[in-house]
Amino acid sequence: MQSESKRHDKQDEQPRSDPSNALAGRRILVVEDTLIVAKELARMLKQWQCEVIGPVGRREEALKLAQTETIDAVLLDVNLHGETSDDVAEVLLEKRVPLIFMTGYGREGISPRLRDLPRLTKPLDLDELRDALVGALAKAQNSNRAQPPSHSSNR
Amino acid sequence: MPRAATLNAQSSDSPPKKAVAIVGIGASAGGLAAIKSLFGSMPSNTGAAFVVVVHLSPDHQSHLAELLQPHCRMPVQQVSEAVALEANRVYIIPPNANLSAIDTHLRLTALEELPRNRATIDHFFRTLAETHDGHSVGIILSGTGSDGTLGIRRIKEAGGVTIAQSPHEAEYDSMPRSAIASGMIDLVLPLSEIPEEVARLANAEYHIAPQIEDTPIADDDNRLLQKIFAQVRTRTGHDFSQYKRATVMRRIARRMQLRNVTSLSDYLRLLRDEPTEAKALHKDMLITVTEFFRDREVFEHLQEKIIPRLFEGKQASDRIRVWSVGCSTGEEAYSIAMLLMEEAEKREEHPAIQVFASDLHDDSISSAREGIYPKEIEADLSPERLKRFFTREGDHYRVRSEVREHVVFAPHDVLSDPPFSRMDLVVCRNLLIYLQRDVQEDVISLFHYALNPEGTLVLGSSETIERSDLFSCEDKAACIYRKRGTTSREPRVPMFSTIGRNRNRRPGHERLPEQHAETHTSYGRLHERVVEHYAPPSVLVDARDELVHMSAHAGRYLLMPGGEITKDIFRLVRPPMSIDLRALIQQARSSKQIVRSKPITVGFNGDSARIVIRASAAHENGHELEGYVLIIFDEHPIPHDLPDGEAGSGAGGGGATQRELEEEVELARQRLQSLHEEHEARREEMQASNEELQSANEELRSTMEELETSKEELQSMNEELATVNQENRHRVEELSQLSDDLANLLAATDIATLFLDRQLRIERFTPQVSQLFNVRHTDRGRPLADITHSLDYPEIQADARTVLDRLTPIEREAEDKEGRWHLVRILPYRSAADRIAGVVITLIDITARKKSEQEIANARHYAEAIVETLHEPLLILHPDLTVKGGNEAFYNHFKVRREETIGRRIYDLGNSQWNIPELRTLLEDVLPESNVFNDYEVTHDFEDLGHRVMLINARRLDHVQLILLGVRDITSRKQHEEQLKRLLRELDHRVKNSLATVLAIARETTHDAASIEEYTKRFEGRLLALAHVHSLVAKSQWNGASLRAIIETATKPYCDDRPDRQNISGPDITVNAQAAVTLAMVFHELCTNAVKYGCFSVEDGLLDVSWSADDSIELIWRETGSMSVDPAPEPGYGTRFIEQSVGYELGGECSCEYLPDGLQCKMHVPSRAIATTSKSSVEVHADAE
Repeated sequence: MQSESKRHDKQDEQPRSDPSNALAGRRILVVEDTLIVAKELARMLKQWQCEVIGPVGRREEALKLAQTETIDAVLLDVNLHGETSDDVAEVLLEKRVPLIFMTGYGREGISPRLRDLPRLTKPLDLDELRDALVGALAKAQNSNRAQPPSHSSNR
Repeated sequence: MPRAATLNAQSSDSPPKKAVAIVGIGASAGGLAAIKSLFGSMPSNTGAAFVVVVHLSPDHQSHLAELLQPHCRMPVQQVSEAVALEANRVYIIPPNANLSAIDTHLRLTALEELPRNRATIDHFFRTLAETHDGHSVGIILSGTGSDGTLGIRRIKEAGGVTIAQSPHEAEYDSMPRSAIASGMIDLVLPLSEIPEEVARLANAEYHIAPQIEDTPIADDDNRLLQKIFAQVRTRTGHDFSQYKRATVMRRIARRMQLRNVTSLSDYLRLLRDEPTEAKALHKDMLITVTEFFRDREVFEHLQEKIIPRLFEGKQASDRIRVWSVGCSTGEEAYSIAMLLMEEAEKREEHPAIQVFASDLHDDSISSAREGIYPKEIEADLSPERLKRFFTREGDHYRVRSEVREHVVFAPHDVLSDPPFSRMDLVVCRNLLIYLQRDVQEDVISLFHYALNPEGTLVLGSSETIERSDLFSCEDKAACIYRKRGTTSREPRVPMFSTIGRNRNRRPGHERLPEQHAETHTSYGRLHERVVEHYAPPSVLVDARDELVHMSAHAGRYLLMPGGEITKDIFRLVRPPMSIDLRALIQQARSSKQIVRSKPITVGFNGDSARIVIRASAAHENGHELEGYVLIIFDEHPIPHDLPDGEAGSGAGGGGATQRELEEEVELARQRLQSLHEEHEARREEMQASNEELQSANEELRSTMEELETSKEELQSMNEELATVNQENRHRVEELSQLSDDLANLLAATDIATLFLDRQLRIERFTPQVSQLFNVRHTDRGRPLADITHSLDYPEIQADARTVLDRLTPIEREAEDKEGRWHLVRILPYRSAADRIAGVVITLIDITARKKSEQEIANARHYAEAIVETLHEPLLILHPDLTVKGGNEAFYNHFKVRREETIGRRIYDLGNSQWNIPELRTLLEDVLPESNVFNDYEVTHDFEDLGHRVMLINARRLDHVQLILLGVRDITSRKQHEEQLKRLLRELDHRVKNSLATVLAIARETTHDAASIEEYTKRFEGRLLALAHVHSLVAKSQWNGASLRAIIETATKPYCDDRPDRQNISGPDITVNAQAAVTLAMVFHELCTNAVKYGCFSVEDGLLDVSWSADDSIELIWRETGSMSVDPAPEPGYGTRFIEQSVGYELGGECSCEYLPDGLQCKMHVPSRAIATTSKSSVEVHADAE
């Protein structure tokens, strides 16, 4: 898994300091409406040498970032100030960007169509978060390899 | 009745081959076992041939022969074509075969159209009786119905023996019972005893062969027979000596065979010893076979020709009188009555119909009177007649009373009782054949008397009339005769005086000829016979001296006198003879001898002759004919000289003497002449008075005759009246029986009954009536209005009148003064003629019923009240799932109307909205099994009510045939449950979110705390702030919190004891829960800051928080009086957090600035960020579990 992640990166602006760190340099979008939780997440990701996009707490902002930014993975709060983040998830799915839901609800809190996506329960266990991120990235990489070779030809 | 025995004797002359004895066996239901058992013990050498008929469907292929063979020691054979009958074999007649004859062979004919309801066993027995000689046995075994009952009568009549299986052991007893009830069964035996009896009967010889008619019977036998007759006569009062020997002998032979007696003398002994045997023989003697419309062609002829003729020329006031002689059990009489009624119906007005039916046998008469016949008569009657003239009563038919009324039954012996008279039709079939020939003639002349002129006599097929002077034959084949209109004086009742009542004392069958000969032999024949001996001219005079006949030349001696035509011989005869003739006739009558006159000189037209008259009383066969006298004229020519010769003889005596003598003679002559004249005058006087006497006598005589006639008529009338009287007595008995029954019924039912006539006057009442009505027996005939009663029913009279008018019964319930309830039922009183003769009022005490009804009604009200009181919708259904009713809750809840609901099937209610598959299953599958079910949850989308969840309870109430269906709508409860679930989930979410926040706070706090102490203090502060705001929003169920409350909660630790330190002002704004948390944390940080550096750090510091609300909220946090803090601190973690939070979480802006006297923090927050929404912050998806 780790060896594959090397080949996967699109943006190699920052050389990875730790070749064993699969998350190093990954662009992770954080969508979380509670500031203190978002900050905490961002801090963590940075520790893991990820590049944090956001964090943002509002749906419109998240949508905008999802549409415009190049993103490797997304941590997506299900509930954003009383609104669901479903449409954000739709955009990301469309773009084949792996995403991980964060929610205090159980599975039921998520729209049926999106229930099979990875999901973390708040409060977050940092190890779980890390494993989920690594897993989502690896899975996305696998499925992208099955894509036409043009996508991986520049590798 | 053709006698098979006679025929056989002729056809098989040498040696007389004895016909095989036939044992006919009829069985139906339960018969197979009986037959098996019967043949199981039947010896194989009985010498009889067995023929078995079993009721089976004609389409059924019978295997009876195969089934039976293993049980039978004789060969068993199913008959499919004509087979020779052999002894010791068993023949099975298949159900579809048409048996036509049983003689030396079993003969079958091509199967015709099966007559409807053919009684197979009856048919078989009839065939057996008709085509086989008397040596047969008929056995009836187990079976239902009454088939065979009619047939065994035939067997018995033909001289066969009849046996029925004992009904006690028969599997189905109605067939044997019916046969036994008919009285035609000789032996009732259990199966085990039948074989022995059959073997004995089959081997029994005909000890007395049926006598061929006119064959003289041996003297010894004759003597024994007379004794047997005497026995029977003394025991039963009936004399059979007039009966044909052959018949009598056959009957006796049958009894002997049955009683196992071999000689007449033994039988006579038996008769003497056992009184019952005489009765049995008497009964056997009278066996007659009859059926409805027997001999169809005869009845067709009657129907087409004779009956219409009877109606011709009759007025409605007239009567048609028919006499059925020897009616037996009445079939013939009823058949004729039916024909007459059918004919009468065709006519607008018709004479009254009266059928007299007589028979010798009392039992037959009483069964005829009952008019009940087994259902097998269906074979003899058309369906129309069955329907029109009979009523079905179980297995039997009863003659309708309208037919019955036309027929009068009477026991009557034609041989001894006076006949009926003035009949239009006499039907006497198959009676004469039993009588000896001379008695037959008597009976025929009796019928002649009984009939009106032109009346019709119908005889049996083998009966003929020999006396053609009384009847002319109208139809030889149908044996119909017509009375001849005879011109001579009719013989009146010919038999009274002759055989009459003393017939029994008359020796043998000798005839008494006097009256008969006189009346029936013509004068001419008599005269001629006499003339054979006396050739001379002659005349015959009767007792009245009138000329009744004269020989060819007798006219010469007669002279028609002037005046009225006379037959008086004295006036007719030439005058000179008349005197002498009178004397002669007188003499002849008295002396009974031939007397003669002196020669009388008679002048004939100038000529003269001497006539000697002889007179003789008339005789025939040595018997005198009363008063008749034959007069013969012997003529002797007069010698011309005779008178002179006489004179001449005197002239020879002397002249003087002669003259004297002549004078004397002259004198004498004159004297004589005068005497003669005188005599003549006297004679004429006498003649005149004689004539007067004679005419008086004649008048008397005719009066006598009239009297005689009247007497005879009276006698006939009397007889008829006696008959009618007996009939009436019979009816009166029936009526009194009925009336007793009725009285007992009324007493037993204890129902007060009041009969009123058309004027509502009291006709009759039962004793119970007097408890309610003030009636006494003397009140009969008083109007109902006069009678007071204790019923609260003032309209009783009006109702009674209504019933009379409308003829429909009325029923009411009325209470009496004692509080008892009565069911008053008023019905029209219909008489037998279907006339309304009044009304019947019955009063039935229904207090108990009323009470229980009241109790039931109370219980019902109680139940209904319960049902109505329930909040839960409740439906009451009939077992067929139609709605009986529902409670208000049901109608209200499901928004249906009562009248649209009741009486309809539950599935059809309101656009079939209750046609719910789950409900169907419950009602149609579950409920019939378990009679109760509880809390079945059913969901259904109603058109009007939308989605509903219901709990359904049901009870099947079998005793009242109802189903209770309780429906509890738990939709809202379900919704609440859902809500609760959602709330719990929300809570869980919030807790988790809060924990996430707490965790984040814990981690973040590490970055702005220098020491563990500081960390603890800060973390604690932040956690408490979070906790406080949570309890704040929890108060409103997370719907939000007031801004002021949020601020006050944050400042509370610092301003609680110094409320003057703060000033909070602004409009009332409610902030949603999430924003409240954010704001609370923000204000907490601000407070923490203020404590550290700001207004709460100094004694006289002051906090002022104010805000305005519009599209956004502008809030200013202003601290003053904290100038002691110096220098102004760098913006730290707290300030950054405040600013970021407002931006990040509320989408607003926040800036903190240290003014000289303290911090000023301005916040700009869009309203929508803090607005509370009605819905919960997170949608729980509908399909969430």
